[in-house]
Amino acid sequence: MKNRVAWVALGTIAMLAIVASLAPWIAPYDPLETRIVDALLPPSAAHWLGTDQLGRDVLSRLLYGTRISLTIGLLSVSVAVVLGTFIGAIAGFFGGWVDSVLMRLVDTLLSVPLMFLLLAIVAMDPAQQLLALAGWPVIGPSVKLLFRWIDPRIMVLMIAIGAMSWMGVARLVRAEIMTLKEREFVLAARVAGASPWRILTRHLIPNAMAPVLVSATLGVGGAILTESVLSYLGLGVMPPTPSWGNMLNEGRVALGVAWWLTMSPGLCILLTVLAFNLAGEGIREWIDR
Amino acid sequence: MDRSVMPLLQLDSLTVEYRGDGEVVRAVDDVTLSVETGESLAIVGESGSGKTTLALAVTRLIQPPGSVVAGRALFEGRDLFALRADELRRVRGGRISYVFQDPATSLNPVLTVGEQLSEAIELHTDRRAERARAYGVELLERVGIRAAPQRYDAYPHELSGGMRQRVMIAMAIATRPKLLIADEPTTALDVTVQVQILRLLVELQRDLGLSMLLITHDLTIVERTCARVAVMYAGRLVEEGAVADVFANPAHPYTRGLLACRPAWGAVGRQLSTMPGQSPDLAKLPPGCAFVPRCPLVEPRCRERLPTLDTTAEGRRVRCVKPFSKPGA
Amino acid sequence: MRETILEARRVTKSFPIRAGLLRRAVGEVRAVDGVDLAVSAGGTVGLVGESGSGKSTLARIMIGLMAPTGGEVLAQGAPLAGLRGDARRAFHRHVAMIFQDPTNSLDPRQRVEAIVAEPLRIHRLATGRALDSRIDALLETVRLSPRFRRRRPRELSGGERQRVGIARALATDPKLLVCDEPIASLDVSVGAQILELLGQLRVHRGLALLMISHDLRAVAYLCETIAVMSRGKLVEQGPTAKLIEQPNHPYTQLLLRCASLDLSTDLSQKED
Repeated sequence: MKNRVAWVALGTIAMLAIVASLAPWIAPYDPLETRIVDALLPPSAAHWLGTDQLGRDVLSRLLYGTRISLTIGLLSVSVAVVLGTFIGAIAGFFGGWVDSVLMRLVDTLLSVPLMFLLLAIVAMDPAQQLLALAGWPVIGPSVKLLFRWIDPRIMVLMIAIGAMSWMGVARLVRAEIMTLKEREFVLAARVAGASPWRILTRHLIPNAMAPVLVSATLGVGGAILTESVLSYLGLGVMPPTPSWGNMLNEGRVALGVAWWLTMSPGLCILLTVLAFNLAGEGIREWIDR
Repeated sequence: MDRSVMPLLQLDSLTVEYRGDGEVVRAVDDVTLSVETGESLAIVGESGSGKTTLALAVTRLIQPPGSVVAGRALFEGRDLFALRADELRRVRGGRISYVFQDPATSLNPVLTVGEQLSEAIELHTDRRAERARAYGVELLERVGIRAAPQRYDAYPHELSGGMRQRVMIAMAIATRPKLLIADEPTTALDVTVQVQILRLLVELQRDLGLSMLLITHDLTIVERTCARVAVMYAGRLVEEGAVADVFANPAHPYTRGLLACRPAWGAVGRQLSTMPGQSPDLAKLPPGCAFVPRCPLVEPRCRERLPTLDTTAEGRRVRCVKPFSKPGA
Repeated sequence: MRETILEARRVTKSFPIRAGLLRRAVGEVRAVDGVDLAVSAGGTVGLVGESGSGKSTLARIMIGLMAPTGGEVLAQGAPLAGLRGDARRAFHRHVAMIFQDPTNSLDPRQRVEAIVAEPLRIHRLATGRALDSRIDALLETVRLSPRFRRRRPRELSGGERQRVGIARALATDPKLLVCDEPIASLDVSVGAQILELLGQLRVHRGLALLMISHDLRAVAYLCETIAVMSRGKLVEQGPTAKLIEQPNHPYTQLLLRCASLDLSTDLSQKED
């Protein structure tokens, strides 16, 4: 890739990922530790990004927040990609009534104002329902293990955001597959006696992933923004767990006196989404070479 | 050679380079050629020979990252590279017309045949509206399209490939040009349609006193339609002469190889003499003659220096140190 | 008498023309109309015609990519449509195909070795080191050195890609090679090399060939029998030498004259 901007973007993403995974070791303070006496301190040597209303170190909260935002971004897009690719590939490959049915499903879901649906789902507190799964006989233990690693609330968010975006991926994949199906190398595979499954998995899907990859990187940016909005509205990640969105929300009330409370998470969101978008552009250019 | 008559088109040392990714590629390298009034010259070559680039370079149709870096193109005595933009536009399409390979993409699918024809007519003649239409229909008839008035109002997708190409030719001759540059005009067409189109081109050439520069890879087409032929390889001119002479007695080993590539009729399973290798990568040309990797007559001096284009007594031009030699001789 | 390995009997393929709001079939287009064509073991048949003649459609039907609307295709005497399981797989092993566009007929994401090995993997004919040496042998047959193994299609020239396609087709040691316009997209000199390669394969391996092409000269070089198609119908069929010397059908005569670009050919009957 010759695109220098894309390289910088990728580097930024890599750095974010490293920072996110090393958060527990590099954060100077405990992000949940409150010291009212040190509330609303501006950036200084002791606190690089200042402190919030409860005296918590902004930088530390930001670092932990990176984990959440990146995890949500990447995993929700993964859900969307897997689901979308599966459905899009089946629709595109088989065509006929299978395609019609699946595409009507996609169209229906796309016309539902999903943000509201999302809010409704979240408001219903499905996390409780998910937790109930922990009591089930067979899958109980694995569910419990999963919830130790990821907060069920966040899990719900990821699945919800993923469920909102798989339709776009499905359409993309379907379109690619329908074009690729007619290419001669697919014909060659059929002549050689390849089974439809083989053709789909070894030839069609790998070649269809290019635009999906680009769309996915853009999607990560979108997912992070969605999470930020939800958390800002008080519906996403719940305090005291820090996320960029709820940090923005909490900093809003102190906007006049403590600019660093909103600037820090705001800039993070901006830079991260920008980095993903530019990386996506770079990938697209690389693919088109 | 009648020296009192200036050639219609004179290309002197024309060189076109493409720059990209830190490399410079010479698509056309020091080509000198001329086309007389009423003459038909074929430019023959395979992929990478530079023949299409040459055709485009004549009227400055080369876009960045390509550019003409040396040479000039004299048309009717005037250097096309020295003309102002508006003067050039009058020449291009007016006195020099083009016909390209794929009529499917050369015609605008959302405009009718008539709309496109009249555009060319109104741009280069003073006919307007009704007179333009009448002239357009006349042109369509001239190029052999039946039911011309109806076809005038048809859209390109309603016409067959052969008819579309005829429309292109009609557009090309609408302005009564002096020179027609046709780049692979029949390659995308069925063989029966090819014959019709080629015949049309030959007739028009004769009836309108048109000069023709025909770019093609097909030697049979050259044999049937042109008087002179220039062979290009790796951007360079390697042979030039009268068609009959060149075909009977090729001077350059590449020309000889190309001629031998056509299977003779009724030669089921007989040995086909083929040229090994493929067209060279223009970015990685060796010093000396570019044909060396494929030539059966290579000598050490072929690798050292690029042979010069020499003229033989009979007026043939060859770029080879051992012209007219046969392999195994 | 040589065994007939692939035969089309009265094969017809119609496509409905749909019109109106309800898209009802108002008529049909007969791309292929009652064609009989047979390829015998080691035999070489050239199927020629212009665009719209139905030759490509017929080829696709004969190779099982499309079902005929009438008539049947017989593979070594057995109806192709009825073949299932092992018999069907055997058919795929015995009949191979190379395509016109070398750029599109190779999976852009696979390396040459994977492309060539695929038929062997599909039919589980070789694994491990045996597979490796088979790949090398196949590349050698098409005159590509082993260093081409790790390359991807975009790193190859048109001629090289076509050779890879041929290597892939030969992987299962087929009895019949169907060639759909094999040299139409290639340079003249490269096309001649491929033609010659195909000729060698025919001679050395006793490979039967069914060549579909609009290029009468190339077909005449490679095939002992020529079948001429026009608008879905087979208008003439016979030994090459005879067909060229004394063509019976006016269309064949027309095609022959046009193939040598005889500009004096009377084409007034042909609408265009």
